[in-house]
Amino acid sequence: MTPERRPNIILLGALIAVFLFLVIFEPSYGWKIRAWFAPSNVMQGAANGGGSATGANDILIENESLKAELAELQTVEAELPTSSANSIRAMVYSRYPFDFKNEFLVNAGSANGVAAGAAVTYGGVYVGRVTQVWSDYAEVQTVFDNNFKLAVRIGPGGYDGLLTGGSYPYVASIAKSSPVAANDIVVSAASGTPYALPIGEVSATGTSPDNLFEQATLSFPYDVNQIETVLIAKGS
Amino acid sequence: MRYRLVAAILLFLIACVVQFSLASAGISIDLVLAALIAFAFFFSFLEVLVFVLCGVFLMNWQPGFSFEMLIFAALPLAAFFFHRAFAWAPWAGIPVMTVCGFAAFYALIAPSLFVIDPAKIVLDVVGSLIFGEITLAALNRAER
Repeated sequence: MTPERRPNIILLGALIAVFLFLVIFEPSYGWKIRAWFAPSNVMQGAANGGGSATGANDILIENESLKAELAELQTVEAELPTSSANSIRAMVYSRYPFDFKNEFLVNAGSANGVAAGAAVTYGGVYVGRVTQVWSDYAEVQTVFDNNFKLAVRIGPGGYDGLLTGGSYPYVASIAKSSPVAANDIVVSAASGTPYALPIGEVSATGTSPDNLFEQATLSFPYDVNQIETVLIAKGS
Repeated sequence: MRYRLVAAILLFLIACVVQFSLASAGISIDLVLAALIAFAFFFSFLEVLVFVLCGVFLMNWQPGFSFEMLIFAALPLAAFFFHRAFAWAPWAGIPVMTVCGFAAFYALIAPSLFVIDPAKIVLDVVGSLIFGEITLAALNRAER
């Protein structure tokens, strides 16, 4: 082995050891680096404000009002409870990086009272459930996950259905006689989940492929990719 | 100076920035995996392993072990051994291993996506093939 190859192998071996240590013992540094790489709203900002003077002025005005609102909120931030008797506030630490699932990791775990199966909400709207819990972290499966299923009720009549997750979640198994209509609210109705948590609104109805049931596609008042804090119900 | 290694580091960083930025907008293209598969045709095993572990460190989203990360790490290494075994030129081997690798990735982790949403897979593969070709061109131009 030449002297030049020996330092290279030593350097590469050291790098391998460092990365193995980081992967196994300090994965949170990777999440922070990934969050720094990925600014939020980058596509929306480009779509709304690019190029025109009118667009730039609107952005400046909105920026000023947001600054004022932020200043006001920061004065009371210290007074906001980090949790209540019924829920735990948690920050989104990292998101599932591939296209197979729709999950994210939060910075609250069993040490904070989080339990598997707990309902997770954002602004009072149900967004998913806890699937895996560590002592300081928990994994949340959102309603946009392909494997997500939840019993729900629709509209003032409380018609039963099964929320089926995916890129475009929909409610299946609605009885054909149910007068479900657009803009009807969809709420949770499953055991182990707080009853009547709002999930979304019906945007359109149709018949299932087998023609036995009705189906309803949903609209949601949030962008799951922009969620940064959530509330986790205590208990399961 | 090892211009090729510097080029690879820059390409890896570009793959990270673009992939993570697109992901925050809801678009999923695995550029980091595409870059790692391309690197397997240009670097030694230890160099590829360093890049793979760096990729795992950045892509891992949770503190525990996951099957997805195991496959993510195994695919570039499989590409390395494929290159060693068959000695295909990078211009042929990279696209083949990218398509086969991504097909295996989806088949092992989420086979239902082939039926539920094949467009997602096509978008991922096409985007990754394009980045793989960019990586190939850049590494070919950079001198070792």
